[in-house]
Amino acid sequence: MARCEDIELLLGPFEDGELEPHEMQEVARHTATCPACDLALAGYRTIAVALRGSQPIPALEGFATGVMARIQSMHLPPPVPETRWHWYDTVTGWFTNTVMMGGLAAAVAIVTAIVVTPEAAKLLHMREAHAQKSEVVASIATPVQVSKPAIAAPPINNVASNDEESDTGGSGNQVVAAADNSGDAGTEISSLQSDNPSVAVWTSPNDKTTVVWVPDQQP
Amino acid sequence: LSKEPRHDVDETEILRRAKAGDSQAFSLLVERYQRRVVGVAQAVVHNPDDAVELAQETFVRAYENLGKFESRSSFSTWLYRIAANLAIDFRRREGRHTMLRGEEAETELDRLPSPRGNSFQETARGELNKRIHDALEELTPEHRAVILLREVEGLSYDEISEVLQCPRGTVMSRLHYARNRLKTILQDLESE
Repeated sequence: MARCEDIELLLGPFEDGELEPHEMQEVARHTATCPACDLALAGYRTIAVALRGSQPIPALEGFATGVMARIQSMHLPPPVPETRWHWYDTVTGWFTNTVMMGGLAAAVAIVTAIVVTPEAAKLLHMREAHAQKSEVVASIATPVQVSKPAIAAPPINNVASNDEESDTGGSGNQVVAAADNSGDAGTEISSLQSDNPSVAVWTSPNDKTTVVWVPDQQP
Repeated sequence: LSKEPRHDVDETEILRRAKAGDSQAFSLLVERYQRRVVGVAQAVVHNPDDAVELAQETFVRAYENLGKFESRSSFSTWLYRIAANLAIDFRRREGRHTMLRGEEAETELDRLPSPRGNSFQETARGELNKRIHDALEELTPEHRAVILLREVEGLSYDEISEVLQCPRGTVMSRLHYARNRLKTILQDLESE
């Protein structure tokens, strides 16, 4: 059973019918078994009845006529016709909708630029790298004009990309390969660096890619 | 005392006509809500004559601003809020809530309408009313307005909150305080 201190605050709203249904039930159950709270509730009712009976009721005969006479004597303009407000609402509504739609479109464009475009660029780079890998043929000995059938590239064991530094310690056998004349930009080799003739390091500054070519270990 | 005026289905139509400048329609709205508007003003200023004047002013203001009423709240609540605002301004300006004490209060009570005859019951009722009037005067204007709007005008907590522009919780706490204070002042009423 609820405590009287908890119920006390609910007695007034209970009397006014302003509690939630479960609270109404709780107060009703409590007052049915608690003479003190029931007495307090009766006290509220007595006050309410006394107040209702005590308030003077002003005479209102001719009140409405007086109000209308006063309105007419003040030469007040009639209320703004509904059609004018309707027109105003239509214009402001159209303006608000336009602004909202514009804002929405701008938001979509910004989100697209931030989220979708980098993803698309990333995908594009992946495709370009794949194309380059399949078409590049490198020569380590001397600067050469690279052509696809000239030297077969060793199988790729390890590929480092996206600006990863190659760790071949190469300073000696530096080779610069010319671009492939095939006209395919994806096959351009800008430099080849390696001490070990079986290892090739290929960098492509244009798309900031470094590829390390290592031959397969023979069993 | 009158209960909440029944919102007939044609109130929307009356409002539309009044907005279009039909003074006859506006007159119907005045007749429909005059009693309650006076009651709301009276709850705040606690003086029937001032309340009637304020009610008149309320309807004039309502007429002037009728085109801006957008049915977000009910028309009655919109009207009561105008009345309450005018009454609160009036009370601040005039400080009339402190003037109805002693002889002035008795004079005011003498002017109240009463049943015919000068019976013992009438005298007793007059004395009772005076005691209640004095008890209400001991409350702050805020507490008095809330309890009168609830007990006499029958406004819901939400309506009182909207009319007086204070949170519902404030309405509840003011009501709780006002009731207990009146119970203490008028405790012998309960035993009668």
